[in-house]
Amino acid sequence: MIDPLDVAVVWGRLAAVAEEMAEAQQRTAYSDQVREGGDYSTAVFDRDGRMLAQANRSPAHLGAMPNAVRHMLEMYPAEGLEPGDVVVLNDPYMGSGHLPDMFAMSPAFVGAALVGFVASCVHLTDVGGPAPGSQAVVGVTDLVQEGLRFLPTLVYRRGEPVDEILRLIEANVRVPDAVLGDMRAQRAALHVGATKLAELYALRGPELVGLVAEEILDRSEEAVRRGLAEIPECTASFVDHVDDYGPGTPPIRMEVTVTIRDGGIVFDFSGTDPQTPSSLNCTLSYVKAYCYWATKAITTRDTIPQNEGQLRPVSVVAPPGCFFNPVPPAALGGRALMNQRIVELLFGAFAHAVPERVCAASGQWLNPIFGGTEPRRGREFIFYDYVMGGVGARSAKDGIDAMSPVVSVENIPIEAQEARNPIVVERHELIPDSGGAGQFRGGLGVRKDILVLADDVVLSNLTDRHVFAPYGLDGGAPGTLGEIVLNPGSADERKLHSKEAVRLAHGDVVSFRVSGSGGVGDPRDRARESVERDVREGVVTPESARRVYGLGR
Amino acid sequence: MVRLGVDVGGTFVDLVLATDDGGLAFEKVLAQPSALVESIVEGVGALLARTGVEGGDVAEVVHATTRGSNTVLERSGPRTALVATRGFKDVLQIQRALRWSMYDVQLEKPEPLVPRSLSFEVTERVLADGSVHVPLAEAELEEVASRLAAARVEAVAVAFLHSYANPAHERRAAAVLRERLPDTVVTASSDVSLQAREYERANTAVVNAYIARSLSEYMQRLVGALADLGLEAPVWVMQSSGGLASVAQAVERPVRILESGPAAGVVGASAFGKSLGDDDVISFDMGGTTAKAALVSGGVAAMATYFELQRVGSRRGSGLPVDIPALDLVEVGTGGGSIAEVREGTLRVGPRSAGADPGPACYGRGGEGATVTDANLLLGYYDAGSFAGGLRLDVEAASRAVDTVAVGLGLTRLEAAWGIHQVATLDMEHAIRLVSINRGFDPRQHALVCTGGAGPAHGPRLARALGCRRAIVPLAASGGSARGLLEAAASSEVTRTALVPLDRPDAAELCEQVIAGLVEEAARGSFGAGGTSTLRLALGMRYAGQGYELLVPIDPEERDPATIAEAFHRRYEHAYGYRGEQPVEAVTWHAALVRDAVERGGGSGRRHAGTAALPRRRDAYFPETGVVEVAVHERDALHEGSVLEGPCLVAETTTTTVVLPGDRVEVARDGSLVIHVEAAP
Repeated sequence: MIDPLDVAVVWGRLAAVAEEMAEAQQRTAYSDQVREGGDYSTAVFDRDGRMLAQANRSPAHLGAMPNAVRHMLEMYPAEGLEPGDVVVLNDPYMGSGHLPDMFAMSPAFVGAALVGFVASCVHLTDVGGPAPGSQAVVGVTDLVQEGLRFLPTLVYRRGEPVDEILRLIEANVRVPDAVLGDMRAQRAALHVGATKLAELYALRGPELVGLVAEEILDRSEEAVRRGLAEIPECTASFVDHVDDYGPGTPPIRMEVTVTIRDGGIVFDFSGTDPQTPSSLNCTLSYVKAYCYWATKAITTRDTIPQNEGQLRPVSVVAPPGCFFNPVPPAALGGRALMNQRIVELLFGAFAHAVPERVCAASGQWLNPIFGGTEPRRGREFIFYDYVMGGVGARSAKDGIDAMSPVVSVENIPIEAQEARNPIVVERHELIPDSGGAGQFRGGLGVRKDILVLADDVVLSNLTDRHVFAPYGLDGGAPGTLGEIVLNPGSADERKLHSKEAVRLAHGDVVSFRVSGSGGVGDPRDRARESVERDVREGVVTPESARRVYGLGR
Repeated sequence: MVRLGVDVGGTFVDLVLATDDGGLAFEKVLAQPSALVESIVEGVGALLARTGVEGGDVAEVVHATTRGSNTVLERSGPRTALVATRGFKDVLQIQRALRWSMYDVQLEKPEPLVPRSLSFEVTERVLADGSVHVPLAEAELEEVASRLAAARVEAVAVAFLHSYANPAHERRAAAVLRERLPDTVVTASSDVSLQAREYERANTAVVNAYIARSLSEYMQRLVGALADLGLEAPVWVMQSSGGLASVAQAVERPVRILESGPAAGVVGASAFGKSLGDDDVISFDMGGTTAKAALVSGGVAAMATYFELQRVGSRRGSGLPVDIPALDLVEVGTGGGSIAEVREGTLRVGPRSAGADPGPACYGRGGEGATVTDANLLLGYYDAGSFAGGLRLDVEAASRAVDTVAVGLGLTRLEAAWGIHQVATLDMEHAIRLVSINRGFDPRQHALVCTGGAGPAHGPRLARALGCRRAIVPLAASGGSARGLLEAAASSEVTRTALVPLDRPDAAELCEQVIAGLVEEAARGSFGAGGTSTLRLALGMRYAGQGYELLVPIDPEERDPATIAEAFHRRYEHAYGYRGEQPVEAVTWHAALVRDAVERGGGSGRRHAGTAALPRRRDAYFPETGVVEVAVHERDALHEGSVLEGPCLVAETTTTTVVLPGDRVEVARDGSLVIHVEAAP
């Protein structure tokens, strides 16, 4: 029998190696989305390609990593790999979900023996395609339009770059410095990971680590099953809508039926609309990632590091060809906005069974990407921004203002954004009255106005909830709708579509207003002190306090 | 020269007096949170009485205090307001908004010290290059001043965008507000930080304003109370950077002394290492609720340009950020009081802690959780008859507590106790490994200096796990911070953001300009007349296009950009396995003017050795040997040059050193135990 203390020590060390890789990745990265946005992940695998630990970074890659590594090993069998080799892959249907997500994998060796693998995934700033950032939605109907696509490909051989491949990338992306820089950061993470993983195997012996690996996966699976078993058996459905997939297009209906039974959970997306003729589609691996996220949120949360065992109790059903399981050549670049939407759909279904473990719908984050040429330095730039709305109200407390409901994204300091890009941020503020009313109020949305100081800039918008508001729960009101306004207050003021790409001129101002979040419970039941505090703090106007909460009546 | 160190911690006031003959005397009294000055006076009185030293003989007092951080912790500061650039008054509410516990639906942001209702805006705008985009609307300032007065605000932070690049608007606004509101503390963000990142800088200014009054009142009372004891020597205060500031400087920029106790611990560790010939050390300070570590390289402790106050479970993003020069401390929530539990079929230690009340099960005050202290007792490492200054420990209670864990894991009691000890050490090992990578250090080339009540019991095991070749346990290790105070030098630090691409033709001149400006700024905050000082320089550098910097110490005379860049390349390659071909840029510039050491007593750390008694013997468990009878040496009975072979224990009133099988201890001249660590198998 295996010594439980060995399990504790080896497990802790495996998780620590993944964490050390993540730190190396982040600290050597070139782009804002990796550095500040946490849009990357790292993981360690055993020699059979089973994922033993994944760092707590982007949930988008939960469960996608093992898939990607398996595909890479099919193309490059372990026997042929050598220390310092790096294989990359960004084929969305082999795990990545959309082209900007680049996976990279290296073997770890003790002497001549291959003991395991380490892998990293980063969201690259650009991989080509019609608009800067490779996330354009409108007019993109085929994956081939979206940019460079790598099936498993060797980019470093024994630590030396394969220059032909790197030149190919350099020639086909915007801002190649940032893109290749982030790929070098992946290499740094893999170097750190392979070294540390090998040290662990050398110290403890491959046999013991192998035994512990089995234990880790089994126990993690059990932990999730135990958590699910605490929830009464149930089947529940929920329906929500994405506004559209471009100007003049219809809404996308999303439906899930969740069944929790016998320590397992099934997410069935039958009833969801078909895939769209745009880049707004979610591959099954991406949908699964957020099914895992939501399952973790109602069971183990942060108590155990992510690994493959925790995925076992989760089944996901989505008919091929549907929005949540598109088939080639469906385009996929616009999926980023869907991360929180999948979780919200699932939370809507969970709300009856475990209301205390979910929140109402949240403000829909914005992922605008500006691209053009810096007038001063004459260099190409991509200004990749994200504006977080709030988080929906919880069963016994208010939501959170200006924070992502699902991902570890940090706001990029405005002082850093302005130092690197030809823009001036004119305001960044909370929007009063945007949080859905309720006994517990939804978090506030955010307004961010950006003045562009370059000509001929392309802005690629990516957001939603301009038509369908973030829902409230248990009688709580929805949050306000979002909007994007070009040149507010001027003669040529106009609203922009949530997924529209537009050309901007020097002096244009784009005002992004993120939707508010949903409330929970009847607003009339809200504590009077809370309403008064909200009015004093200026997050609810006196008029709303009277009208919605009945203050002063 | 007689010098007095006073370290106020969470539970105790630790005092140390260095006398003329080079001897050291220690005192420990309970810290009463509501009457800290009284607690200090009690300790100082006892120490003077015991040593026969007159108050008037004391030439210098060095102090570390938790006053500032407690004010924030208790939210006991005054009504504080923010004045921001128009469009940005919500900077404290919006924050960086990291989802610091990703899957936790019940998450909260750290609560800002200034509510939205006390956040105001003024029309003005400076850009990243320091140019003025919108001039300052002075008339609006008058109106804001009236509103601040009407709101009965007692402290104000002024934080405008890009004030690190051009502070003119901010300074003008602060001046107007000071004039209009003479009784109000006004802090401009550029007075306390010259780093880019608006939320962090604004919060730094807010914290400064928030704690200013309480700290200055406290200092005034302390200086008065010491004078009543006849002690009128100058008082120095430890800063988070490890350098000392005068009382006047501390009161002017109180945000700089928030982490003064932990910083003193690191300064002490660095000094202990240096006196034994180890310039590269890791300080390891493990107390009742947390353990802290810091890296010291070439005698200089690693610096950070930022830390967070009141993190939850040491998680990044859960605390209030402060952008000031500080020693780079890694903290994990594992201490002697941390409770072990079986989760997911495996053993975890912490984050739950038994704290001081009820404390570990073996304290016999009703604690039922199996703590690290309980485990150490059952392993035979601690003496049940006398612990931490005389407490009797309840072995039965400890056994019952540890049994709950043992049963859950199918282990014997002893195996479970060993597991708890091991996992507690493991958490710290991971934290140190992580920070080593980020900083480009190799822990194997460092000696581990063990302090705090639990440090000497876990340090040798930690040293072995990290591959350190030596572990050092200084005298009175449980009060390491107080001793560290006596080793610190006055210093004045400045950190600023200034982007200089090192491949530019004029890079050498730009470096010269920035450094000259820094030195001038540092000299302004300096310790006044008397003594010479040494300049230390560290540059945060990165490859062009990256966002994080690696802080690399640089020879202060060095101006050659290629040489500076090479220092970065080397450090980077060491950490990440390759060097880039991109140009290197310097971004963060950190200068410290450190007062040169004056002649001092107290360095040798000698104290009067007690009578040499024969060592007692006790059973203790080590995985290498199983249960064996080992010698328990009284620390007081050891003399310079004594050699002990592990396994054995070295006991003193407030802590016990656990010497592992295969390790060998030599007692150094200053009384430190120098443990030669056997490599892990």
